[in-house]
Amino acid sequence: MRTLPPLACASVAALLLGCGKPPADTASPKAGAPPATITLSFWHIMNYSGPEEILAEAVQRFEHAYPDTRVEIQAFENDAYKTKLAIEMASGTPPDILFTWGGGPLAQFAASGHVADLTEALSRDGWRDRFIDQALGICTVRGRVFAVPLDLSAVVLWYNRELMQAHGVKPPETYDDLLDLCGVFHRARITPFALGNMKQWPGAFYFIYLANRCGGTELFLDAADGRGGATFDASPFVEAGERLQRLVQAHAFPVGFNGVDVGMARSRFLQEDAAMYLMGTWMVARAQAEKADFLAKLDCVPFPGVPGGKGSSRTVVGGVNCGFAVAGRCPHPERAIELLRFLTAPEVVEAWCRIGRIPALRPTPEAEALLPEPTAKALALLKAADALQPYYDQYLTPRLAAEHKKTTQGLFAGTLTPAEAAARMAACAREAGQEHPPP
Amino acid sequence: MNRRLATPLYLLPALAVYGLFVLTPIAESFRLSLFRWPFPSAQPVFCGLRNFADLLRDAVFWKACQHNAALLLMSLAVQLPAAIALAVLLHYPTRGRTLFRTAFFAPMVMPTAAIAVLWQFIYAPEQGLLSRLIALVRPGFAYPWLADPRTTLLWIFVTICWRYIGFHMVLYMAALGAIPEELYEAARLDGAGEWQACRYITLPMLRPMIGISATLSIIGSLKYFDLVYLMAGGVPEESRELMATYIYRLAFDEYQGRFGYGSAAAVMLFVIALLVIVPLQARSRRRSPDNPTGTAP
Repeated sequence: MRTLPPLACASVAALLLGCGKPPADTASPKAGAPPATITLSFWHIMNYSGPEEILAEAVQRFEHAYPDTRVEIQAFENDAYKTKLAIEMASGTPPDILFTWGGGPLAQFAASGHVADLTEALSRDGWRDRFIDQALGICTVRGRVFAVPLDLSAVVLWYNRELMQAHGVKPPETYDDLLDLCGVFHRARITPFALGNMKQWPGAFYFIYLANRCGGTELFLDAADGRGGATFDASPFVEAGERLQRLVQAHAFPVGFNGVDVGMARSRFLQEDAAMYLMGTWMVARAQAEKADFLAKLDCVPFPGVPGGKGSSRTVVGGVNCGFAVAGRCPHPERAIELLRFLTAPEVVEAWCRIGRIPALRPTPEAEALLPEPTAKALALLKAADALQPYYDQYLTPRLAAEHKKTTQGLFAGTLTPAEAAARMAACAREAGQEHPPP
Repeated sequence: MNRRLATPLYLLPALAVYGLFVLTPIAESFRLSLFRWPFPSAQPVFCGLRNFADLLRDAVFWKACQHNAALLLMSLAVQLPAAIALAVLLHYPTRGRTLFRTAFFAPMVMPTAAIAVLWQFIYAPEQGLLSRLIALVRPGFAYPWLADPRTTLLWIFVTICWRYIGFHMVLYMAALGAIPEELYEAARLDGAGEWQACRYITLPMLRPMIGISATLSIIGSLKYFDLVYLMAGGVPEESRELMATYIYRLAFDEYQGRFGYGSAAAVMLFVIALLVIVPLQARSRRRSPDNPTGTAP
């Protein structure tokens, strides 16, 4: 009877842990290995097949190299993770190694010392040189690096090659081509663009691209960082709103797209009910899993430029979709940084290519050859890009990012005029500028 | 041990748990509502009642209050009468009674997230069940059920009613079972018809249960959260938020982390709920001592 209470406790603990999904390899200590004296917690959002195994294997290799260290992995759902991390940061109990998209939220953590400075560590052993500069730039705040990126994603205009050919049209090169294509496909009872904007970020891509083509990347960066008197109500932002609403009026999007989930939009495109889809490169991995034969029809072009716009049509919207930072409170920062080296090791980069995602580290030519054809085409657009336009919701501070997504959804719904939406963004940026130090 | 001492002593552990998990967070909300705390990693700064002053000027918050009021009225005007009607109908020994009862109660035991997904399919603009049914008479019909700022909440309220009518129905069925059969026999002897028996016996005898179910409905509509949070993402915030969803979005969602302002909104919800529920409770207590059932003498 004496052994029962601990047993009972253990089973309760196991029940409670059940939702946290501990990886099998950390559940029992390895035979013959010395007992672990250091425990590192590692949170990420790669909770789906493919990336999840790659990260788990990298952690296994790390644990093998450092038998005295045990890593507790927890994988969360995307939106739940943002909430959880914000709360844990505020209450001073962050994980030792945390997933990040870089940009505004990372800058906020860096400003308050919540994440460790990795600049010194990166300068050793040529670690820094292995990264693609643009990706590392997204993880850099005032010249100091606070995270290491693993995934680089780009948003490009995907289209169905067969549908285009069947209707005797070519992929768009200008904004007016876009409007013409809307007419052609709408008359043929095919949705020009698949879009499910319930979560607000899929529609935001249209605004980001249009604003970029109208005003250029620099204008956005200046407005975001409060430089040179640039603001979010400058005329290119208003023009972007106008052009976006013109697309809506041209029946570019399916009925009720604002209330539809992103998964339903993807299946509309994969089922060939829609001709085009503005989406990130991660979409290819999903398409491969859901309808592999579709990849043969899948092609991409850069988002078209607008007449008289200041922005180059070679600029690509993209960013880091998986990066890792070390918490400022982590009691074993050297060991945690060592784990980051394992998470960005050449084996991981190669595996990343194999599942069809673009790594943020320069891959070997052999690894790059593993990319599926559509991803390789998108990567070519990314390489030819003259600048990388960051996602607003990852570059801006969280409140301004939320305002951007809300106002863009309002533009789509027609409840806001372009001038109103721009004025709301500018006002929110002014307010936020008083509360946040500029990153 | 002295009974007068023992009872409070036995209640103490429960009070401790209640205090730790209910009263402390409420007190903490009150405290936080006095701080300016713009984002999670910032240092909170005391700001007095400034959050409340901002809240009174916050158009989205007032819209949210209106939406709660609309949900409350709709719950009372639709859910309760429908639940009573179903309960009365199912009280008759009809064929397949258990089947009907189970079917009407089923939404209550379904997980909310599953209901949200199910109804998102029903409300899909072109391929959804509703649009396709209407397309039978009006070919090519498509409607943005969950993306029209004017009507989206209404359609979600329909789902909410669908979910809770079965719950209220079960309450009324229990109350109907407790009405003595003799009353109906006496009424029949006096020549009362089916309708008169319903009007003068069933409804008055249901009154206490109507009170309970109305109170549950009112409290439920004031703090309602889940289906609206899960289904109303397609419309701008001023057309979608309830008080509870707005509080959550302010404090936790979308990385906003405005804990101070969110707490102020939570305190407002607390005060509003108190203002509505205390008079209701007082009324039911007034009724209780000399007339425990609250029915007409």
